[in-house]
Amino acid sequence: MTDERPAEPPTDPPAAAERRNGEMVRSDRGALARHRRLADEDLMAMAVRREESAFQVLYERHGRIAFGLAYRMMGDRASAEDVVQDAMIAAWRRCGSYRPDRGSVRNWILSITHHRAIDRLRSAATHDRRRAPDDEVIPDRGAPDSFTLVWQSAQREEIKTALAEIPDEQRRVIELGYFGGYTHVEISDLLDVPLGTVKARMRLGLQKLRASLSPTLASPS
Amino acid sequence: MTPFPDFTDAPRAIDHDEVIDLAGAFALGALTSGDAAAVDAHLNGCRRCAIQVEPLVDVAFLLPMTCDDVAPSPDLETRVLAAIHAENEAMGPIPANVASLDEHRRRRRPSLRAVGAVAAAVVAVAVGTIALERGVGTTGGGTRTVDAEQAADLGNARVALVSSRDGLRLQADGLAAAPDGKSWVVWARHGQGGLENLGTVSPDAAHRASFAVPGDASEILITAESNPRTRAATSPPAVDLTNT
Repeated sequence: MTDERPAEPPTDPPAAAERRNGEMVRSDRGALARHRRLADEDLMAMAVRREESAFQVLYERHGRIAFGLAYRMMGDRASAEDVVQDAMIAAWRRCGSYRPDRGSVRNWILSITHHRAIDRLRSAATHDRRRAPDDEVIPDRGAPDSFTLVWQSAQREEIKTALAEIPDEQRRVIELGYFGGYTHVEISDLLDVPLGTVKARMRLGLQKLRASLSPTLASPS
Repeated sequence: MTPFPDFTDAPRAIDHDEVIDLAGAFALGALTSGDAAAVDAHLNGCRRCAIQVEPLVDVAFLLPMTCDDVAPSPDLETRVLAAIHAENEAMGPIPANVASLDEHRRRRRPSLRAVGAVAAAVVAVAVGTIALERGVGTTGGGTRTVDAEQAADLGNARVALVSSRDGLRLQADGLAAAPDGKSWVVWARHGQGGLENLGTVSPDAAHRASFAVPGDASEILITAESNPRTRAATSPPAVDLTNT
């Protein structure tokens, strides 16, 4: 799933964040405005050339959903922000290893975020896992534009509805595995059901989820 | 790059039936790292299984959309940008052979999701990461000159993956000898799988070294090892080159 929006290649020198008087200064607005018209894959190519403003746009596009995922998994803001920060820095370091034939930039960043969160959840230090989500509300700054919000909201509702419609026992193992960071063996112990049943529920649940989604969502290519 | 959770022996071999059995758990990230590496290694070489597993992976990537839409604190963006800026400043100049955006667009494949495309004619471009004991520096691509002050163990080394008619080679200039009692061991990673010990590399009198590596490796690493025949790396990589 690659963003193929038409865009003009930037001609200016790389716009990088600078530190002035001890303060981090964002990339210049002109560069950011141009970069915001570029496809994710083009931004990744620029990030490989260490253009920080290109990566800043990638953060703007995908940092929010990455945080939503980390927050759901970790259960508190501080841990979720640590996960996202780790994941974004890892993405910056490894942007040269991104391969478009293996999926979209969004999925690549979410995959790194997911793995970072799983690592933390599976570590002994945070093994108590599920904590109640914080109630603190953070002012929403830098939200996506209204069209994007409506589009994402529609997608979110469709996926939520589809997830709600699969059998409870299948949804349960999917949520424990994906958001809880539990392995299929741990889920088998936790729910006291045979391992084979857990594996089958995961596979069948995902297949049903896919079948109930619109073709655009189910086949992102 | 603190922990190396996937820094293990080569993944175990598994058959088609087991891959399909584990497909759901694999897509959800609900396998141990060893099992996940085994499935991934199988999928990299088995189109038949990949066709069945990829749709489940795609669906799993939609699950974050079901999370509540909550905004991170504004400070997070500042922290992330400050961190990458600090790393950028600590790194040397951008290598001349890193593709520009225009070059990148010319190279882009017509089908982004084509799996198993033959890449024999594609000149390998090495993108490297130099991971040091005291931190990680990242290159934008091509080659990386390691600052001797940063990496006393490596010397002032310039390390690159070079593609030629004879295949892919790891080449190093200015490579120091391995630390006392240790050898530089070269590792290859295939796909997302585990690491394969390819053997040791030593600099010649001119501090140069060249080492043939498999062209289909996704990643080439060098570590300092007391046992040159070890099957599992015991130290962080001094060199980590991604073969794209």
